[in-house]
Amino acid sequence: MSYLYFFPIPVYFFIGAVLSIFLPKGFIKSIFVTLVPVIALVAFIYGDYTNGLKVQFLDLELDFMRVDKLSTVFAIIFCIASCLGNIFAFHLRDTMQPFIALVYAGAAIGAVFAGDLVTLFVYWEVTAISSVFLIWARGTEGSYHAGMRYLIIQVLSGVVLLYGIALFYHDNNSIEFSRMELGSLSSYLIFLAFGIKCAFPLLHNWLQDSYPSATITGTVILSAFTTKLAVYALARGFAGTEILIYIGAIMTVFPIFFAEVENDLRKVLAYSLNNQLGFMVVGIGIGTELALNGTAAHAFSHILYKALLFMSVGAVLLRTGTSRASELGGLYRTMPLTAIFCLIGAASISAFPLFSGFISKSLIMSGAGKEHYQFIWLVLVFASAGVLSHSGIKVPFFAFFHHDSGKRPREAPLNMLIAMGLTAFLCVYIGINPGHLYSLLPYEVKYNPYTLEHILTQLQLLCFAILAFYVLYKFKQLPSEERGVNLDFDWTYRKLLPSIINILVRILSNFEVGVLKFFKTVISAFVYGVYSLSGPDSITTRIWTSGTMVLCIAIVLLVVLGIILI
Amino acid sequence: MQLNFFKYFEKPSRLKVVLLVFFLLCGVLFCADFLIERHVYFDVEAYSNFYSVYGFVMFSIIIFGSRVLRFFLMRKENYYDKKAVDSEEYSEGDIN
Repeated sequence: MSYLYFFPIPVYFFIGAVLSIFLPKGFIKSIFVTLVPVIALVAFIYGDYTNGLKVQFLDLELDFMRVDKLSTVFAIIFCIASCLGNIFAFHLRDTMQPFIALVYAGAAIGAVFAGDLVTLFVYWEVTAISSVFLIWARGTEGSYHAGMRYLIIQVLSGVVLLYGIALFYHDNNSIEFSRMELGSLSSYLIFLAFGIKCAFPLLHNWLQDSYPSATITGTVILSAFTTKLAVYALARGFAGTEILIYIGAIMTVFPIFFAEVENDLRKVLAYSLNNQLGFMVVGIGIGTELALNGTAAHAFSHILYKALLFMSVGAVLLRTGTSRASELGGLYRTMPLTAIFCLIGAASISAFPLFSGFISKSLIMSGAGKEHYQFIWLVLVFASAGVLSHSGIKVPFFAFFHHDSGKRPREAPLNMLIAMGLTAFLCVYIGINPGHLYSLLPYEVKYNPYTLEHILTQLQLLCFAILAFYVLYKFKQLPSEERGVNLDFDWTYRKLLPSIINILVRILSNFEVGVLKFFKTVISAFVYGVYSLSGPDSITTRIWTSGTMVLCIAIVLLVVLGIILI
Repeated sequence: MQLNFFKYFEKPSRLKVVLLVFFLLCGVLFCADFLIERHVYFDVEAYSNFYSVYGFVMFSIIIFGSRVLRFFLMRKENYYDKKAVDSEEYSEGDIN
């Protein structure tokens, strides 16, 4: 069997994706699609990739399998997320979505293992182009346009990356993907490309625009890969770049406010995703072993609890036809298991002790503390209270509790319950046994999250924030749940830019009309002038008859003759 | 008939007990701060009950801040487009 080990891991996904097309829709196909990531993971664990998989292409050396601890931890969680996502989508009787789910996951894993920038670029683009089909699969006009916007921005990220890589090769005569310094134009372009995919502030709106527009199962799959791939790429290429600390800090803060007023719970989770990415980006910016461990650990646990939250809201959406907080409430009566799983996801993301967020986020917080970033640390603690407010309380509270919406949907389908159950189990398992996750991290971990003071301070923060929620709820001070959209930076390209273009077009078309009108007037005035001078009824026609003309010519001829003769 | 853990707490009296336990927990956490010695990274963290106060105040700031944000930024659902995804009804078909 050892020849199998020569395959790059993404190839398992691609072969699986192609084979899945030929399988009949139904149980067998779903089982197959679910097993592909498991097979790939087993092949990876038992495979020997210590020397990479290097291929000479033209003058470039491509490395398809750079396996080290950083890429391993991301590849493992991507395989797990793909498997869980496919279980969640087990009920689908569709050809495209399972195919795309495998291609997308395979491309993300391929990008993680890419040892050179060209391979990275290729997989970078494949993730963009494949994932958009999960949005279009919803099949509505709105999702078509959202998908288009998503695709334009994702491909733009790829184009910027390609330009950066070309300049990088020109400068360094190498395409190896390793730590770089921000300074040259090429490094800035690569940084920008990563930043677009990582949803940096002002580059972030593709995320909140597209994820809630995808299908129920598509959103769960989308939430795992693209942004965490960008986090991986930043951790690989720009660890210790100080500006990332500040970018990350902004990312943790501003989505909190938007999430708090957003009505669509999937959009709330998309903002919350943005906020969680901020923690990871701060960890990368700090760049110490502790902080980078924190980023990797947080990405790992984040993928699980975020998928769990998207799954539970997805199940609600499937059963009730809406994910709007204003139309939900009281679903615990008929969807108790989904409610429990949602609460586990909420507890994990809020970083309650015994749940996964607690053991991963604290690594980043300690990293900031140890490097004496006091302000950043305060921002992160603030953001932790913010996470509790929207993902920890708002999502479960407005969906499953709060007032009774009158809806009595059935419990989620079995496959969704299994997917949520497994994910919830992992969230708790990692929370209780952090050692297993810590052993996967890039550097050795000498950190114990379960000290008495850490548990105390975290519980103080969370419980008193919940107390604040209770007080504000009692005094009816929470933002009410209303249907509507909240303007964000995407207003600039969805509203401002089109109206500027509209105005310009109007000015230009008016100008064109004006110019045409001007020439038309001048020419017709000229023609009219000529006509009025020499037309049938004009003064010249009336006075100067043909006989007069003949007489004139005869006179002129006589004069000429006379001059010649003289 | 499914066993529903949450229905147990539907009775107002039981819900009150849950709330009481929660308030007690808050009280215990507040008092525990004086008993447990904390190792701090920053001076600000060393204030007694820093985390409790910070959590309470920041949560309130988030709620009031977001209400201000909504006042300025909220629009109708079809603001961007009549057929934008925001105002779409969702149906993926019900399954068993």
